[in-house]
Amino acid sequence: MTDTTALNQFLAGVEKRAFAMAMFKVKDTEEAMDIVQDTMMMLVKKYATKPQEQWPPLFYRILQNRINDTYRKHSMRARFFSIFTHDHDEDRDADPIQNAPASYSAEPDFQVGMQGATAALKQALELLSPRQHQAFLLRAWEGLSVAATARAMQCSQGSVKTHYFRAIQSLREELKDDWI
Amino acid sequence: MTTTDEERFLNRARKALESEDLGEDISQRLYSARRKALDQLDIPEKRAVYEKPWFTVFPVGAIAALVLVFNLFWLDPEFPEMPNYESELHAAAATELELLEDLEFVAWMLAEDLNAG
Repeated sequence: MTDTTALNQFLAGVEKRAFAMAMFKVKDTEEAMDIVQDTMMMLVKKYATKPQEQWPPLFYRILQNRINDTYRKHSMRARFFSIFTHDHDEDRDADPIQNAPASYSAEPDFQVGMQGATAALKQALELLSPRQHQAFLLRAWEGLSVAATARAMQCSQGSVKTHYFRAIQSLREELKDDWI
Repeated sequence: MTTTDEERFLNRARKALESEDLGEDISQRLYSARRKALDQLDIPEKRAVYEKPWFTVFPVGAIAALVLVFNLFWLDPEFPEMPNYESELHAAAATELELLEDLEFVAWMLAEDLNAG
């Protein structure tokens, strides 16, 4: 039996962070909204009957998969069009997620309002690798445990600890002038 | 990095991330997306074929019909005997034929008489 009220509360609690996470990566309001909506639909359809403590890692696993799918689609499209401009033989076998450039142009309205500490943090987050980025947001922002983060990222707990540690190191290094 | 430093850094990072306001439009759209997702729970799930009501009713009906047919035509052969009208029909038909032949004979006789006369 599904507890609709609990599911509603859970989704209401994570939807804004989920949107922000998607937005970090895809930089497009419509696509970020589609990603969040698909994630909610999938969670409710497939996992609503699961125990409540399993919802957060399941939700973020679906979210990360959707974000990665969208990101890969963008990368493939960019690569396809780049064939007509110049050759990229050495990049052809690279994983688009792992080696993705830090960003492509953000929407102006998303950048408006990013000031001070938030702006500095967001810029520093852009420099992280996708896995470090995920580990940091899930652990530090979403507050998932190492085990739940590992389930969401579909990797070992050791990998989560490594990505998270490196993410914090990198962020502190980048932000030291602004934050310390 | 000490634990206190890390905690302080993380608290600041969390506050920075939480401080961003997504705006009324995005909040409204997220609410709609959530409602749409939750609405799926109100739609009855598609049942498997074996769960559909007719899947049970149909075989029960078929079995009942078979039992009925079995009882009527196999277990209970004592149907009321039909009257045999065949011989009466033949008899009637034979009588009719004789009468017809007699009439034809009489008609021929009359015709002969007229011709002779």
